[in-house]
Amino acid sequence: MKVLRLRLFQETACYKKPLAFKVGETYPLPPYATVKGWAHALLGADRFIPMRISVQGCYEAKMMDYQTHYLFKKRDVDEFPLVLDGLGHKTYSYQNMTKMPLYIHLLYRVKLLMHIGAEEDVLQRLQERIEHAEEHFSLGRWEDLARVDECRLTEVRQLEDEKMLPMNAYVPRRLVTHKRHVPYLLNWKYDIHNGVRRWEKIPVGYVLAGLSLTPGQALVDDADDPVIFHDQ
Amino acid sequence: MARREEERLDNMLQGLSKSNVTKETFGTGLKNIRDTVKKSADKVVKYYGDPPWGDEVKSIQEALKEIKQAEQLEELQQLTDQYLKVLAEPLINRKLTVNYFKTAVMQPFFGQPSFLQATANSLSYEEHIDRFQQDYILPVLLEAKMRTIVEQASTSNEVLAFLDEYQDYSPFKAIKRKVKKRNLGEIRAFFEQEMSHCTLIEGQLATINFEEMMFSPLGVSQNKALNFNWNLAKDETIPISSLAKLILFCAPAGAAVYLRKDGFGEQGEYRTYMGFVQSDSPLPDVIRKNRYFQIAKQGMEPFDRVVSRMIEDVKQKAGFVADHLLFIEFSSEYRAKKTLLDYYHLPRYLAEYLSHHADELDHIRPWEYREQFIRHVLKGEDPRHMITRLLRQNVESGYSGWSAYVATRERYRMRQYAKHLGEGGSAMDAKEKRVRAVYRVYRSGADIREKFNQRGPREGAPEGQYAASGAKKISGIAYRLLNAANANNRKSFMDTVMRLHMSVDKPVPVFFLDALHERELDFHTVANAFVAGLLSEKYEVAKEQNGEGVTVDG
Repeated sequence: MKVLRLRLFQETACYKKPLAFKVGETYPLPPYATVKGWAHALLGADRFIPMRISVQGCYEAKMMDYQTHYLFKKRDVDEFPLVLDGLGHKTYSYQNMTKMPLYIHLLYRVKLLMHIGAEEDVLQRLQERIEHAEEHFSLGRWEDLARVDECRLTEVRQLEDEKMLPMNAYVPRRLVTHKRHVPYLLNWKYDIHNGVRRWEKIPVGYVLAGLSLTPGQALVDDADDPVIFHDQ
Repeated sequence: MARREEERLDNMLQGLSKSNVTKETFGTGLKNIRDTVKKSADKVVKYYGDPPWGDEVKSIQEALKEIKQAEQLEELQQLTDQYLKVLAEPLINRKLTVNYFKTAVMQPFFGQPSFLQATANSLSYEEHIDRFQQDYILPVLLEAKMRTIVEQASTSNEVLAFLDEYQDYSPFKAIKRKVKKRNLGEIRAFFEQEMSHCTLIEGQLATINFEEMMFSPLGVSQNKALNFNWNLAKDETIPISSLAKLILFCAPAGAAVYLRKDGFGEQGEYRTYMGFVQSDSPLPDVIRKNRYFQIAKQGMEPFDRVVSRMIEDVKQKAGFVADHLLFIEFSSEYRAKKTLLDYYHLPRYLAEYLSHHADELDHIRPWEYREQFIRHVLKGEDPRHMITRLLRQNVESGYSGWSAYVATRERYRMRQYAKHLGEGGSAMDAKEKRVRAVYRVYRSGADIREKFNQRGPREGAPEGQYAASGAKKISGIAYRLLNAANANNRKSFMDTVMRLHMSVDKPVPVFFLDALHERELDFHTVANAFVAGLLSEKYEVAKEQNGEGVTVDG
């Protein structure tokens, strides 16, 4: 089976958790929906394209960024968030907007190894779009720039021997036999019901590097790196 | 509340009953007691101003004013006993406890919804319970009942009759409006398709939204932050069920509440933090761990000690190193719309390190530096800036550099663990190797200081002319070295080090060359250990070596 192997690097990134508004908590790795959304945006998709994703990665440190956030009190405001610091301009008072400082948690120097499994023509199109992109990539928030270090199709096969996990990874909860993991419920895809998004979720365990994977838990690619897809 | 007051007053009285109490200290102690009594006494008068309790606390306060001298200690004791007796009255104790708990523990989590409003403070204990039942429990029961009825009803009228019966519950009113003209099949389809489902708990219908008052540390106001919602939604932002609301409301039960100091020295600020431990083990085990964490934090145990004890505990119970522990700490001020949140994954190397060397961190003083040191490390940050800060503080206050040396050495040791375990080695590989080298650097710093101390005023200098003392010169040099190290300016650092050695006629030790190329020790380890040595008297070094053999032998 062919899958798309991607190695990405991000200087900083925040993969914000869904309910974290007053403080920008981040997942330790990009959740599936973020990666899926990125791939869909690249493909210019207008509906869900079946795919499976494996996410592994690591970061050097976690940092805190102090940001000003603007809050809109009305749907249709003419006001625009302005930063007038240092311009010697009079202060501007907002009528329908307020602002507050927020702590955003950032991961520093993130290395990611991701695999995307889908129909081969989808993967080829995706590879083509990545190689010939006219815009920079970002994964997570718009400002979380990503550098693509590797993007190629690779064959995967079943894992035959026990293998050590070289990086931290999301492993579907069904497959986690290690007691050592932090459980997360990750968003995957949504339907819109009555104007509200209803998410399908995937229970996973965040497993740290160094733990071993056993046959049946993962696949391996041609570079001998493990590939751990979630269930579709 | 009564118990807390008793402990406080007992401590104060004990202080006053010591034989060496001066008139001044007695005065201060007495004032503290009066203030403490006044605080709760005012509340008793406010809520129960009539006889018997209101009058009694008033008379106690009057009598307290009459106490002036240390000889009246016995009288003072009697008065506080009398006061505590009033506080211990179940009616009063319960009410004051509820009000305190609401303000100190619940408000940071939820702001002031329902019975947490300040105006509800005048409600009785039972009325508080009623309000809670009404606002948190009843909706859960009603929603569960609604689901059952929708599933089991044989006609649409049954559903409508139920919704009619409980139309006081506002979500039901809205639902009724939408389903009243539908048949049973359509009603069922409505619940399945159109109605939102709970974001937090699968299988639950959503009747309310996640916003600030559901969980203040993370939520924002529903109406005043539209751009935080998908599609600028106003009415249905993040749908949740009443059950999710109730569970969120129980969150404080799992958290330890304690004071934590952010920042250093006088610029530091104490904030109330809530903390808990997440781990993927059976629920009773998670509860046990959190209870342990709670007890330890309430006893003001430092973070490294809590973590290391917990590792020990998990090791004994489960037989493996607990690197799946996730520590979460947060402080929330809903009025200031501010939440500080930290979470720490405990990596394997750190778990190994702490289970072998946690005690060493005890030598890092002042206390706040030790706490910051471990937090930096848990966050995966290099604690070297914290060590620089500690060294600066040592220079400013004239303390020995021993504590900074310990911090430097432990930082180095942690790096060794990270390196060896990261490369797939064992904890044994990382143990003790080359830690002695850090000590050698520290010693060399202390040697230089000794030379400076031995030197008298500059030879040939005219009498009466000011000559800085050796210690003062050392401070200046230490600052310069620290600045160079902090800016990663190796050239400037080595330049100073060489001049320093030349001025005392000593050869420059070879490890400085190593540091330049980071062969054995990294640059910051050498720089910090050397400056720490410069700040320590040689006799201290010797004393510490004898007194704390294990530590120094490293």
